[in-house]
Amino acid sequence: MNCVEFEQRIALYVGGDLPDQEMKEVEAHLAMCESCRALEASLRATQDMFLDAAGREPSIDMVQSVHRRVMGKIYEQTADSGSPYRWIGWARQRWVWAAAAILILASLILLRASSKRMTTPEGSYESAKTHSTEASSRQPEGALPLQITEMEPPPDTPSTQGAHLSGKAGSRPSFCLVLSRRGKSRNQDTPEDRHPTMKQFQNQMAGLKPAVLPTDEEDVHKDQAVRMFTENENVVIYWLISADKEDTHEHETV
Amino acid sequence: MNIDPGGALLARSVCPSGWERLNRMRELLLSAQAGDTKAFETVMQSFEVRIIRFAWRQLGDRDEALDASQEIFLRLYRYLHRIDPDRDPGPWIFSIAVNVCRTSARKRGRHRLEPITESMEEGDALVSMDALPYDRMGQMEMVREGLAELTPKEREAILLRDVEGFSTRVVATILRSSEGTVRSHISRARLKLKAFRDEYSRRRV
Repeated sequence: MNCVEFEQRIALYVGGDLPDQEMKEVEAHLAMCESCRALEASLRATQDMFLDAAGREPSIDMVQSVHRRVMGKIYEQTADSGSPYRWIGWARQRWVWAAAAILILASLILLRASSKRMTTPEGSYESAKTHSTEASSRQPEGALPLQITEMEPPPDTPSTQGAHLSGKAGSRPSFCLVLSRRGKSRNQDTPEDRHPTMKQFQNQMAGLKPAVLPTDEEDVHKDQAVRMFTENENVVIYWLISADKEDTHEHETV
Repeated sequence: MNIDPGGALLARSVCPSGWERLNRMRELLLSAQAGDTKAFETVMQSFEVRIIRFAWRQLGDRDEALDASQEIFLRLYRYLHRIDPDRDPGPWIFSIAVNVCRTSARKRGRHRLEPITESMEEGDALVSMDALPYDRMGQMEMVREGLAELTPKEREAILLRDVEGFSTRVVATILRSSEGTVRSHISRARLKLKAFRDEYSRRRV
């Protein structure tokens, strides 16, 4: 066997990559071939140098850069709350911001829609119609800023109407409290009345005297404010009854 | 004699610390597969230096190596469920690395590395290049240029065998090739590097 055929084997031999049998053959050849021993020495020197240079580790900066990028991407996917990278990951995504904007917009629209719906009671009061305070020329003093629901009582007997309001027969309102106000004085609407702050609104309500369901002849001729608590604790309906208004007199028996 | 890093059985019988390492890795892999991101992070940490080094040497370009390394670990995360926790994940991770680097090189549209003419890329390494002795700098440059002289397959084989220390059998598994082919690539690569070194020394003199 000539030396050229041994070259490849010697290249494997320096790395310890030969099976035992071939290794012995190479060693036997090296023992008697000087040029192959020189080749072996040169290959070993190259091997050492190669391992030293190519085996050098990449810089910490490079490693950290990859680490941050990978973990950032992964936390983007998992949205792991415990991650220090989660905000980097999330904030980099433009769709997150778009989704957040859409979500806020949608909830605003929903809120608006639902608050409109809430002013109209359901169930036995389906026939209720709403009108704004501005639309009404005859408002009790300190007109409420909210849309007032004017309810037509269901075509029941007077006693049943009362039962509805107190929640005994109807599904809603589940509870009712009647407030009555003495006197009939009313002021003209002022811009302030139309757009009062919540504080003013609360003051207006505080001016109404709580009362049980009016049964006296006398009481039914006074302005009434009925506050109804529905199943939804966030929904409170005020029913204002003007004592001298023709149609509200129909509610005397309430 | 090289200990096969991919041989779990060998590590278990010969090297107790290797057995402990594998056992710990097994637990980490199981946790990571169960969705523990921190466990995955630890698995990644134990491979990132080697993987980035491999990608850099294989591709010869720092930025390409950064992108490839990122892709390698994201793929590792994506295919985590396919790993057998009872085996050393090293060969499996390196087979991902090989595939990603091949794709990266294909995208670049060149199969051989351009010899890098700019000064030491390891300049941002722990040791400043100015502090390195001249012959060391020469070695780095020479090895880089020498690696660029190899075919991609020869480079893969020599890096996995000599730098990463996998046995020829494991290298064959990683490269989805036969052990004979791998040996052939390795011996050719070593001879080419030796010839390049001889030539390089002559040029310098």
